[in-house]
Amino acid sequence: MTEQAIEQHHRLERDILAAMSRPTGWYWVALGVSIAAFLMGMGLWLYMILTGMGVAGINNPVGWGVFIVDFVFWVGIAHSGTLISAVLFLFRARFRSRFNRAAEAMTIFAVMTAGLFPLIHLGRVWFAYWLFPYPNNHLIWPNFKSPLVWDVFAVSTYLTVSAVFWYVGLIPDLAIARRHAKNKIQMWAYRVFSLGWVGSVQQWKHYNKLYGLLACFATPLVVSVHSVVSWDFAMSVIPGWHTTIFAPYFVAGAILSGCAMVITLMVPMRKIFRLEEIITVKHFEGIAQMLLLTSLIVTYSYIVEYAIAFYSGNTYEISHFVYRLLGAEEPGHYRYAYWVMVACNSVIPLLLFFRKVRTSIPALFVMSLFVNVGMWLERFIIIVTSLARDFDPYAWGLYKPSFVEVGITIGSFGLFFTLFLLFCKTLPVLAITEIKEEYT
Amino acid sequence: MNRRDFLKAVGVVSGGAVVAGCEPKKGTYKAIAPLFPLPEGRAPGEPYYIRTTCTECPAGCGVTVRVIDGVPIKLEGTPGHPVNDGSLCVRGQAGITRLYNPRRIQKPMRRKGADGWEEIEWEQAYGDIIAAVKRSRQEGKKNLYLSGRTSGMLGRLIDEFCQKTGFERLPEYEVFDYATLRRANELVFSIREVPSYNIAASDFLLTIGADVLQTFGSPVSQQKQIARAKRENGLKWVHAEPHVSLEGLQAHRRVALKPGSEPHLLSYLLAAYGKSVPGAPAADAPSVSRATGVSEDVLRDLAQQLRAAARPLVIAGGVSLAGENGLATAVLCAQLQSAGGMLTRLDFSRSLEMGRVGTLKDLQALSERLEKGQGGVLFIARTDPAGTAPEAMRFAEKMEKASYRVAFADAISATTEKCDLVLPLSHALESAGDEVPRKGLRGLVQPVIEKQLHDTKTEGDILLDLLDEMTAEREFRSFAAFLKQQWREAYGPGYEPQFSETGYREASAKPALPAARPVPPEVLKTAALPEGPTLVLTPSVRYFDGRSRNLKLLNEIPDPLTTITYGEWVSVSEEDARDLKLRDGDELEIAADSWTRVLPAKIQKHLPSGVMMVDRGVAGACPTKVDPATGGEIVWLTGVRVRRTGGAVKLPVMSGSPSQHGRGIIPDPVHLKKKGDGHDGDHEKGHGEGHHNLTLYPEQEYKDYRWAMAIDLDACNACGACVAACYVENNIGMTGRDQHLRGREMSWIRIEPFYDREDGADFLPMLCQQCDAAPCEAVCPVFATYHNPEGLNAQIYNRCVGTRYCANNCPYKVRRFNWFDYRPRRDPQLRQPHGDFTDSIEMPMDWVSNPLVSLRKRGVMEKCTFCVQRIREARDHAKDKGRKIEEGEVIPACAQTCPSEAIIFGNSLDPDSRVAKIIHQGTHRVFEELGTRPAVHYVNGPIPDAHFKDSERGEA
Repeated sequence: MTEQAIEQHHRLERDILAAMSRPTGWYWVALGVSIAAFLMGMGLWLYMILTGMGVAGINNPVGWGVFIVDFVFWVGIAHSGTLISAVLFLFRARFRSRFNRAAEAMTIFAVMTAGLFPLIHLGRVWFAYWLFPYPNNHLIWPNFKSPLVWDVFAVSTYLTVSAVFWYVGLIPDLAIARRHAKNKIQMWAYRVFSLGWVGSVQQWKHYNKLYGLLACFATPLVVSVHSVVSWDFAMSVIPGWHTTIFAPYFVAGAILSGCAMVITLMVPMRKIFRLEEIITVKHFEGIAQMLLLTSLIVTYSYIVEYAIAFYSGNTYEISHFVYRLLGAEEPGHYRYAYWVMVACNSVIPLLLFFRKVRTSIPALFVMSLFVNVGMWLERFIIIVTSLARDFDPYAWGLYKPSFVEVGITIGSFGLFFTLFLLFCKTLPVLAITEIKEEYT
Repeated sequence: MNRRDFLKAVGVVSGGAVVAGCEPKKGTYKAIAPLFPLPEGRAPGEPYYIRTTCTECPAGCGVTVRVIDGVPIKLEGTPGHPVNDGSLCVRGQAGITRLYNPRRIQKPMRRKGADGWEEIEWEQAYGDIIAAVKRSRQEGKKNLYLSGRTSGMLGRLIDEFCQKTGFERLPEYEVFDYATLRRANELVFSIREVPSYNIAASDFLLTIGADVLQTFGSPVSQQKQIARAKRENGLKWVHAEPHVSLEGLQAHRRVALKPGSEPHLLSYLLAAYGKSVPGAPAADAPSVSRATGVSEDVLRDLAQQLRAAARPLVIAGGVSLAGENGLATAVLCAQLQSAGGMLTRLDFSRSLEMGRVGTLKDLQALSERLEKGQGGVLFIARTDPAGTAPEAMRFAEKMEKASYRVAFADAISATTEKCDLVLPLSHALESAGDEVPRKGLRGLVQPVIEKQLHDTKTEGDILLDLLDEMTAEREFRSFAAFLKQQWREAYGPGYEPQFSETGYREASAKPALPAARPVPPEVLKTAALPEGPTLVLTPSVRYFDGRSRNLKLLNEIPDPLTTITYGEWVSVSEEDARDLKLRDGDELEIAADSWTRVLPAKIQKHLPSGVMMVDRGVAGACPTKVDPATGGEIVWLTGVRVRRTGGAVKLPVMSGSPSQHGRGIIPDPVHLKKKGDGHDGDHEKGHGEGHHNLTLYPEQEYKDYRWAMAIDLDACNACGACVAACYVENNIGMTGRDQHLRGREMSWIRIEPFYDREDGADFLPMLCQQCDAAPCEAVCPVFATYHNPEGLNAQIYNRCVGTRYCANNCPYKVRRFNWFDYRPRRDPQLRQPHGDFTDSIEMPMDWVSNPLVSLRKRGVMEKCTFCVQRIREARDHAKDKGRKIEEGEVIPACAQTCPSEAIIFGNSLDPDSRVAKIIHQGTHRVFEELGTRPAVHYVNGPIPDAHFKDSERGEA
């Protein structure tokens, strides 16, 4: 290793670990706002538990509303982490090293956030443990036919594997952080969590093997989690839900939203922590290309959904999809939701075909926001409009989120950003050792 | 005291305390002595049954009350009763909620200040009355006694009271007084009465405006007769009407008339019998067609059908007799009844008992007397003239000119608001009494609840008390003693066992054939209705004349036509809505003379343009007129001014769409026929289904029972009785207006109207279909909903965690989630006449709870169970006897009360059960193409009976 390279490595460590330096006032403000939002969300949840689900806007026939939309949204966000770390690792996509740490952290935080929603939406959350198969003497056993039980397993497996993968990836960097620790507590914590990493050849050998293995193990999960989540809907009989395309459609959508969220988070992070030199436009372009690809898949799915509905000749399917497209005459019928979604998820990302857009960080940031909104709307449309108009016209109804649902949704963002902000200041935000590898 | 004594004393005291504490708090006030000995050998918690009579309307249906530990739980029709034979209507089913209604007045109230009240004791109330009577005697004013329709022995006591104390008993006031019909029958048949109509014997029924399913005559009896005549005589029912009503939509054919053109139609039909009545409108087809707006083809067809029928019957009533041409309509109808040989089906020996019900002319006379200051003490019992009499009469103002006003009432009304003293009346379930619905039939009213809920008395007891105080003579200890003496006089000493066992006594009557006589032509003079918007007040199945508006349960159940639950509205035709650019909920200001009212609009299909409808119970005192010829009420307000206010309110409309969007929910006869024909191949598979539903899953296997239901849509009249029965039987939460606006009604069974036909609408009762391949079952993560061994989609409330996936996945959307705890609460604000209903169970409504059905907590899904508690009861009973449950032993609450016996329930594994036979014959199942294999079968037409060969058995 040359002098120059060593110097570069040191600079890299310094630059990346600089993000963990003493937080500024704005950090505290951001953290305070996030925590306040989270606490408000929790307070509203407590209020709902004590009063009844009725404080949410859900009703007959729309039994699932914003809570399930949020669940699917956050699970979707959680997707890109594993995709970027595991799949791109296996494919040796180089731009991944700039994003994987933050994306994995995002994954874990998003899964944690998502995991709250199935609980929040339960009518009797105090009996949530009945969904787990555990030995008990009152003959309660979950119904393994129910997709909701599959969900429990899919999401908990995903959380476990993502967390392990993340942690394993962190070990060498924790050792570096240990070296730069500023006080005793940090020193102690990094020492404990770096598990005695010294960077010996022996350790690296084992490490690489384990990391590769975990990547292989995590890869199918990218597909499975969101497939299972999609089956929550696809396994039902409801027009708009009951369709075979849902698993790939949801996975593509999840990656789309995940990539968008990575951009949304990384653009400001890069700016604030002055990582422009490390994370370059070229890296963003890689993500943007993925965004474009998944957007095209999602668009294709939208078309297929309609094609299937109309080709089926099924009255319920056809009339439901017409409703989704056009709404009904009276106000309040989600009339424009579908078109806003198409604009956000299908039309605007088409601009990425232009290199100029692909390489413009502000443009990417704005686009990622659109995609985030679009993907949230997509879930809203799938979940809510399908329930609002199913088989029996007498039972048709409308759903409007209540302040509790809006508040809890804001609270979920609060939780997510709280965790992410804490992450920024406590752990290396980029995979230092991996980037080092690139520089040698 | 030594140790042993101490322990004994402790034992006695604590034991006593425990025993005393075990007694539930049943009623605040004194115990009510039963009229007749209660059934013997009662065990605590075990239900027993007491016969009494429904007092919700003058029809006087026989009621059997299910009582547990001295608390009435549910009302059901008395089987074999001559009026209702086991059924009750929606109001009858809700009758029990009047007993526990939080809006009841709980103590005598004296006016204090301008609009305040103070609660007083009965002695004080009596003192006030006596002082007032003395004062008015000194002033030389007349004391007056006005009451609602009074039948039975109470009338005699009132007479006695009036005679001994110098009160003048006025003609009774009733909103539905049949003044015009009675006057017409007087003119034509010389009998000023409303006969019983023998619909059961007829094969063709033409009703003109008569709301025979809702309020006219004896609705339950008429519904029952129509259904039976459809089944047995192949009855064809045509309903002609100037607006749109449940009857029009339920009849086989609806003929829309121009308002006020009924005499033209009748004149035409009379001509078809070769009869021309002097003074009647022209009877030639073109001019009748022009006057009525009915095409000549339809007219000819109608006349031809009427002539062709062997036993036709024509009934005119309702809004058709409450217009300017009401008397002409009624007289011509009577003439037609005579000309068409229908008089054998008009039973005047069983006429409705109208007591001393007068007409609006009598009320007019009273208000003039009051105006002149001639009124002394005015008693107003069980009626609300201030809230219902024509506005021009200004009865409320004139009432105040009486020197002292006393109301006998169970709840606050416009009339009690103008009184000095309000005496709370006991509910019929707390009272002894009798009710004479029609001539020769006496229904028993007896106390059912063990203790009084509030400090109330029966009218009879109040009068006896007053007699005691005023004349110092006390002949009878109580009204019950008075009644018993009267009954003994009427029926002889041994009347008691039969009376208490059946709940009624019927004298045999020999129907005398009335003879028609010509009428003076001037009564037949008709006038065309003026052009312009017209508002008509319609009687309603839920509120009757408005008396039931303060019962929450009846507000919770949707209006059958509009599916609106709580609140008020005006129905507007589609054309008018287009002209005024109205949407549902837009507020309309309706003005007539000096009266104005702002009501939200609801667009009603089939309503003729220019006609608007308001529920009679909603309208209250409004500018109706008095028919000078008959004293009846004219409910057609012509020349009203209508204006959009620009405001809008949300209406709690339960229906998501008035159309079934071609989804085949309601079977059309062709569809059914096809299925019925092709039964050879399909039936071997099991359920006798038309669709070839291939499935990879094994069939459900049942050992002894597979509960199933068949619903005859031709018989179903969408009256809503099943819905009310279900609410009471299954402790279903009443969620109130706000929750309804959010789509959170809790009804387990509902009636879905679909306005797809050009000339009418279709109605379908929708309840849990108890599918064999139920979408709800597979998706529950905790097995809270599962398929029980008898085919029910059982719901285990304790196990439910509330994911709501089952409800989402139910194609029928019949699952209901408990969004909140509907906790009982006591709210003093509820004692308003039409005070807003809350979303909780208002005390003491928590008493209406069936102990056999568990109450559901918040966060739990619930649904129709086919009344599993009744199945269990029957199974226990059968097990005791060592046999299986037999046909007819389990009847769910909805099927039990259905006035037209449209719901058949049974074990489809038993080839001899009715339901199995119906299923075999070929039925329609809703959304069968989804492969859900429902156990609720719909048939559209007469349900087959008996003959059924063994080889053809579909179910085994």
